Amino acid sequence: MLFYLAAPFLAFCLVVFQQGFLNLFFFQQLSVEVSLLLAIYAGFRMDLARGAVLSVLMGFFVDCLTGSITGLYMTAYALVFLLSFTLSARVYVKQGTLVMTYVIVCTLLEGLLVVGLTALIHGVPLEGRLRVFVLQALVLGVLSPAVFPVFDRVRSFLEVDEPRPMP
Amino acid sequence: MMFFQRYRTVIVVTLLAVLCLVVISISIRHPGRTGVFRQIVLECAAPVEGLLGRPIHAAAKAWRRYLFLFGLEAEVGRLRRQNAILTRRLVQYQEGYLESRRLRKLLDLKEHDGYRGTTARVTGYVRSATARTLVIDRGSAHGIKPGQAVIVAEGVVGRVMEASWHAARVLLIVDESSNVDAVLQPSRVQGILQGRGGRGCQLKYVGKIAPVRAGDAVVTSGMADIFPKGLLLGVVREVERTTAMFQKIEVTPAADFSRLEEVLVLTGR
Repeated sequence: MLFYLAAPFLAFCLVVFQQGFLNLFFFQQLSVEVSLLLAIYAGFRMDLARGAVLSVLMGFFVDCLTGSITGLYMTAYALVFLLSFTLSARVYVKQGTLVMTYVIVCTLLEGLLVVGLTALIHGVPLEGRLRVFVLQALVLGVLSPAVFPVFDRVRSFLEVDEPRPMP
Repeated sequence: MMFFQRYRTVIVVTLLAVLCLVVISISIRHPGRTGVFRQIVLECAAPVEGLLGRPIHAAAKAWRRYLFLFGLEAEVGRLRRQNAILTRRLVQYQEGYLESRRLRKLLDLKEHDGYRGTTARVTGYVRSATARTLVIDRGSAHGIKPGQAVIVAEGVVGRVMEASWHAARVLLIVDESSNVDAVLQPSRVQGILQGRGGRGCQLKYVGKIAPVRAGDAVVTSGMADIFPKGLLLGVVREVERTTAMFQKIEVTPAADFSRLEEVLVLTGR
């Protein structure tokens, strides 16, 4: 229960921090989407309902704070989460390089989705934006091995009241 | 409950897909309208974003300022160099201006007296124990001969002692070997103005009954045919009447020899 109470607040704080601090830190040239890393992490380490709620919330907050069409990032995050969730059942992602590669692929996928949907909805070609996503994918890929352990710690803090399975 | 447990994944995925599609559809259908949730998020995020951005903005500002100051150092260096060049140029122009004024004065003097003259630049000032002379950059090639008068706008400087082709030495009236026929302007009393080195000049052979006062002008008498008549030699500084036959009259030369730069050599009528 604590998770559902804390998740919106934490997701909001994370997105605000990422938009307000990290983006400025990179002089507004690069969007460091830690929230996407969290969505990927949620796919691998969290259960379906919690991960979905968290991903959707973060996607919504990103939509609100980036000024994009409401539901755009929400959809992208949900898809990334579901993809990660599906993969987690088959692949054990723990190795650093594998995590990095997967994060890069997911970020590029998110970029393609966002650019593609925006182009489809607004009818504006956004080929130039893809370059930004490539750079962002590389940065997130490099960051991911360091960020995932932090998420582990936060998760262990939030899951204290989680009902444990009977022995 | 069992149904939910069994088809949990399908239900959640379906709910997710429906939610996303509905939200996107509403957003596309009403592009100009900001939803309530979106407004709430914006309302909450704006001050936090501002607060978070403040240190970054401050750091960025400091960095820009540092870069600006870093550039400023080079700029200051450049401006200093430019300033030095401009100051040098200004000094040159001022020098030119002052020189032209001095030459104009000399030219006026030449025209006024009807003398032919050659302007010369002072290139050296010899101030030894035995002599007080000037060196000028004009010589016999320019018509300079020994004995010619050398003057400036303020008064008499001296006379040419010797001349080479392109230089000449001028004996100043303050030199102890210099003697100039002079006359006290108010009383028309004649005398000989003799140089006394650093102490100026002394007007000699003026009788003790002659009316002489401090401040009287001493001018050339024009008798020896070296100096034209009426050129200012100096001003009486001090008069001492003794029991001797002549008065002791101290004269301050009119020309300031330490500041001479150009002179006019009177080469003839």
